[in-house]
Amino acid sequence: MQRSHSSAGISRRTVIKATVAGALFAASGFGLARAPGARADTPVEKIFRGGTVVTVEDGQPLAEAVAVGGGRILAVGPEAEIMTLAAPETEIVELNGATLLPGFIDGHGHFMNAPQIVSWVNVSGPPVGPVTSIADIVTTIRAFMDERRPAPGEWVIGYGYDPTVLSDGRELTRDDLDPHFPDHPIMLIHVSNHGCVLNSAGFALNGIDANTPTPEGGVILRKEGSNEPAGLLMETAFLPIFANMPQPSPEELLDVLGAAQEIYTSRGVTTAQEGATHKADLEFLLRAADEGHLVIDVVSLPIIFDVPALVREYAPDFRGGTMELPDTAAQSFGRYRNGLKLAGIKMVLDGSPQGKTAFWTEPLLTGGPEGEEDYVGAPVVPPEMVTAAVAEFVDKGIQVFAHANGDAAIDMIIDALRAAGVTAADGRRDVVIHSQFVRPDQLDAYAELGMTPSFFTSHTFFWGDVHVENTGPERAGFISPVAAAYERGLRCSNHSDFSVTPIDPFLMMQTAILRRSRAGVVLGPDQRVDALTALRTLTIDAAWQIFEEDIKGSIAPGKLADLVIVDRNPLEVDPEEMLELQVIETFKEGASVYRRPA
Amino acid sequence: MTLPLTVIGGYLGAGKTTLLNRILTEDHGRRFGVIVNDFGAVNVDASLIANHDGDTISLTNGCICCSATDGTAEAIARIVKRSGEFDHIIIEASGVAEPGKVARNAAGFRLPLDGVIVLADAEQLPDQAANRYAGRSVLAQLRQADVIVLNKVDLPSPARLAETRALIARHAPDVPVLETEQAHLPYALLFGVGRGAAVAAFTARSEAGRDHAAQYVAELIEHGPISRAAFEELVQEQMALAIRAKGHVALSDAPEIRHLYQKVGRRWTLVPDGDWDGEPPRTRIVTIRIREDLPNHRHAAQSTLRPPSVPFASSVDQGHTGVSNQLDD
Repeated sequence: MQRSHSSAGISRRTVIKATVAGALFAASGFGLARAPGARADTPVEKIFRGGTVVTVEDGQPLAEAVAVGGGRILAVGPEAEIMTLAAPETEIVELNGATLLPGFIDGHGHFMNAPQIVSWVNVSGPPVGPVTSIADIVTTIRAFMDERRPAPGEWVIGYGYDPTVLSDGRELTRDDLDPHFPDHPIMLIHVSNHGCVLNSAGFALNGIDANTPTPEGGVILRKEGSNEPAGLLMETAFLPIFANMPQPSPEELLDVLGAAQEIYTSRGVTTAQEGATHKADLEFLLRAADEGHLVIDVVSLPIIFDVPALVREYAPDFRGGTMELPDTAAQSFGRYRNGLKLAGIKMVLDGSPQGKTAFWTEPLLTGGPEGEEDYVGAPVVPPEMVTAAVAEFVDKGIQVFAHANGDAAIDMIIDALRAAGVTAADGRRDVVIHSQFVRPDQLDAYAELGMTPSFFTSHTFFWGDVHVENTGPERAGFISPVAAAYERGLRCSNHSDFSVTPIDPFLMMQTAILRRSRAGVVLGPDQRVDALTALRTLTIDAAWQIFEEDIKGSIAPGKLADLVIVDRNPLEVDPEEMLELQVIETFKEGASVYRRPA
Repeated sequence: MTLPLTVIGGYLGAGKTTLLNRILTEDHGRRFGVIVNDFGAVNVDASLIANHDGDTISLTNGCICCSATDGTAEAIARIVKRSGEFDHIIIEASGVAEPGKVARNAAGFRLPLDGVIVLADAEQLPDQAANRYAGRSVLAQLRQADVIVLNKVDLPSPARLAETRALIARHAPDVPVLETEQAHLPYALLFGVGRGAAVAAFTARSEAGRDHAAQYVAELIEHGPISRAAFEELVQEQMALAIRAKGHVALSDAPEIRHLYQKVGRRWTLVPDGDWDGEPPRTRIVTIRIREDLPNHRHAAQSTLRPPSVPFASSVDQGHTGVSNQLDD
């Protein structure tokens, strides 16, 4: 299926800049003319009726029926009215009491992790995976291998290994795995992504044995009373192993791209984000798009570190400095081609709060990862580089997506945008991805500069207790402050940062509504929001954030027919039951792209 | 096979790229695998490029330069896979990275750490250290250095230079400081002995022939087989001022084993290094220190003690699993 539609919302700056030939990605053909929207005489292909339609439109939040044709929503209204549009060939989709919602938009995540994840076995504990014991790990791997049938000697990789969820009360060891899996090297990646457990075949392939010294800053767990590695490797002992793993070829990635997209469509997500795209990944995505493999839309954010390489590749005659862009660079952004769009450039300003690598202004209460006192973390890039790069992106009309978790990192991007002369009137919608430890005064600055946060409320569940310990109840209570952002008139998205947490819109909604940790502590009760606000962050406001609010994010005539049928109405369901919601069917531009197995 | 690892750190403008460009292109006889963060900043004369393949530039002198944008660990893995083609790995730490942490992350690859070299901008350092975002990182870099290269000392006013020196002395009191311009330094100071006969020959040549070596004094320490305790005393007493020291050691309790001694700043290692190749066991160490009669070091024009040629003739591939002493805190 070849598709082409416009992202009409891209800023006027882009239009002004996009006048000269020789765009950054001209060779790859970005910047095609807009496709026309649905016209009055477009045949009605489908009518959805017989349930609840949650439009997420301000004026008309609920409706009875929706008519769809030509990939677009043609009409929304009372069932009797909509049914008058039916033609003999119109398919009537009976909702049977279920709820129709706009397709979800991934506010921030890493699409290129999806082909990897579907090739791996999930050994996480609930709610991410099925594992609560070592026996579960063995059964789960066995089932995976029975299904995939890897050749002897081929790596079997699992993710989400977490000893704290195991009822056995100890680490998994190679001895637990070896009797069951003697012929395949196995690597189970630790839930922190900082380590793994190997079986004996895995150790042998990596040449790690009793004679291998434990590297500084690393862990090689040894068998009791021996120097023989037991299974677990962490940090510097793990880095070389992961770096040496065989990488899938583009062909292998293409083979699993359908399954990868089903991670999204099975949760009702019709627009995914590749939120830190390296050059090789962009080349893969261009190919996947042009060969018609994209079922859903993918929004790509080329990562700033690879921008010089991209310029060298796509604008070989350009003679600017390291972080300068050709005048026509913006032509490459803001438009879809075959399901792929470059939205802006991704900057990374700090690390993660749970890893204590974010960058705060106030010290952590628990010190640094190595026990440092007066520890505030650190920036990932020097402020001068942020200032220079942001000035360039502003000048060239390119939206900025800045990863910033700690408030000092957030100060850096605010300072840089202010120095570049940005104001809200510019309508740039520069996104601060995560914005987790944003301060109230920084939200004011967001409003002043037209910035917009993409929050990560699932942290309240997964790491809420750690955040309270590290930063105290007040700072932790203001983590991902959705309510405070809306109070200031900001629009915001909420995200999973897939594959850091699972793509589950209902988990994101639930955590925005409850803000409750694993231990049951509510982080910032005043920042809890209602279900409609939680839903807006995954639909219309997430669309707005990427300049797609005129084609996505709500059920309204003229928008793309990106729709999802859910068994119950998330606006009505008890938030405690929200994770039980089931996606019945997902539509991308009117075409069914996922149906729940019978 | 293991490759010695050097981490080069320092904030923006300190001269990392200048130094790396020189390392990549000069005819020094050592094949460096260099991992850079900012590939765009590497500005190599096209005539010196043998091959440019995506994220890797291969140079005619045997060096390669590759980008770490997809991860430093991945870049190290790529070089280690081809370790027979190189003599040494250099990782450029990003402007705010802590080079000590970069070195430690590389430890899993079992690369012996040759040294952490941190460059500092003589003019800008006080401002950088006071920067609300970068200041802590800048000071951490200085603390983690084995050697600080205070670069661009020709630019600041005398008062500013004094301020910069005082700042370094306050925050990194035990780290030797080499002052220079345009990141010019003798390779013998920057790098340890490396491995292989070609490297040894180069080391000897470079120590003997550079003009700017006039700032430094090289001395040869010779001994017969020596007890471990006596050797450690020697390290404390005769080499305390040495920025670099390298050579072979004959230990009296195992004179048949040749040991390789290397020192950079406060860090030193003593590891088995094969046998004596029929030569009589003896201890011969070259030390290099800053000339004491030069408070500002760089103004020296007079001649210097010329170092003797260094008897490093064979490989150190015995590994680094033997005795290892580190006085690095």
